[in-house]
Amino acid sequence: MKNILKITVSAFFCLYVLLSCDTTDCITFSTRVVIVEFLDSATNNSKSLDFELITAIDSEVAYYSDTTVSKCYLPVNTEKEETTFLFVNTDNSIDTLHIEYDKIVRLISKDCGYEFQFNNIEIVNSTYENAISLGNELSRLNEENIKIYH
Amino acid sequence: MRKILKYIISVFFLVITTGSLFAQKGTVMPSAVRIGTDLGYLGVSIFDPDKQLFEIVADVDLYKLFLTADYGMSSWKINQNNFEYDNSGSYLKVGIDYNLTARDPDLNVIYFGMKYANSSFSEKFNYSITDPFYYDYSENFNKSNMSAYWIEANFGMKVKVWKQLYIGWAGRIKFAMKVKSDNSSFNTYFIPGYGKAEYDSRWGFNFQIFYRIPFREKPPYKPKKIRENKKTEGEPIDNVEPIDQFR
Repeated sequence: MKNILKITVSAFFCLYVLLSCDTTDCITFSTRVVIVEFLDSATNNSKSLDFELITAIDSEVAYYSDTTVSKCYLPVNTEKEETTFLFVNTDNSIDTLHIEYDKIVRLISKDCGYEFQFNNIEIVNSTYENAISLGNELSRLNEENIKIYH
Repeated sequence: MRKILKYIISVFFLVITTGSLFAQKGTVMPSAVRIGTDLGYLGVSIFDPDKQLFEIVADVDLYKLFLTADYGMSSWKINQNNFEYDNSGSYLKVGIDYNLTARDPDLNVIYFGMKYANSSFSEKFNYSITDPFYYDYSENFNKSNMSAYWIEANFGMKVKVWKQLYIGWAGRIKFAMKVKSDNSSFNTYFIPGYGKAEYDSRWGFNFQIFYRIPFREKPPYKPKKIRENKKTEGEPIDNVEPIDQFR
């Protein structure tokens, strides 16, 4: 009995050493990119629009310039829980899309680092009359997050 | 250190109170407290400069049951180029184990049981970001007075290796964890005694060493032989010599 117990304890010690390694998967689907799709309000089909520039307030870069797009990928401001995107049309008029969201900072692990998660995307204000947020979490698996009927 | 002393005093108080309660009923007689620590945690504390873990575990025998308590302290620092994380806290787990080998002459133990665990901790996280789209910034989160509780189902064994020295292992499933809610945007990352907070349940495994401190000479239960004697001859228990193995 005693020997069996000692062998079992030793075996579990080896198991303990083997299982002590904690591995974490670094791959996640979270993203800071909100996908805005333009749709034809009459046909409900995807609609391409011409823009001089697409950017955001506080952004230091242009996301798109002199382009024709039906779907655009726009990074949100990770410091704040709101971002206002600016759509400069070819006639130099500007449309805005102001969104709010909940930001969560998640530490994945020492080696993988941290990530942001953005939930509950809401449209607070927009010059587009018919803009709808799907309200989903920003994810690489999303097809779109905001639909704008034009 | 003060916390450890408090804990030891509490355990002894618990032992004495429980022991006297059961002794009065004349059914179970606690005979010893077994105090130990986790060897794996000591190893981590020595070899990983970022982690300090210490756990003291204790049990008191009540025939087929053990009253058990674990108290632990931990601190963990992660220092990377673009973020820092700091966690420190303590935990207490109390519960009951069922001894499957209550009549083992060496007082070896194979057990399973349940524990309630509570952890108090604080954590800090700060990061700095070089943003390719917006401006660079840094953000700090400071979560103090955090707490969490959970349940553990555990199983394991403790084997005598020399005189009153025992070694053992314990496997445990931690579940039904609830962490104190707060308004912070930073998700609680680590709970001392539990592990990563994002998991609803966790496996745990401990490799432990114990020292048994007997505080009465009698065995932790009334051996069968004596009961039989009492039945047939009507002799009072106190007049019966303990069987050889417990001398």
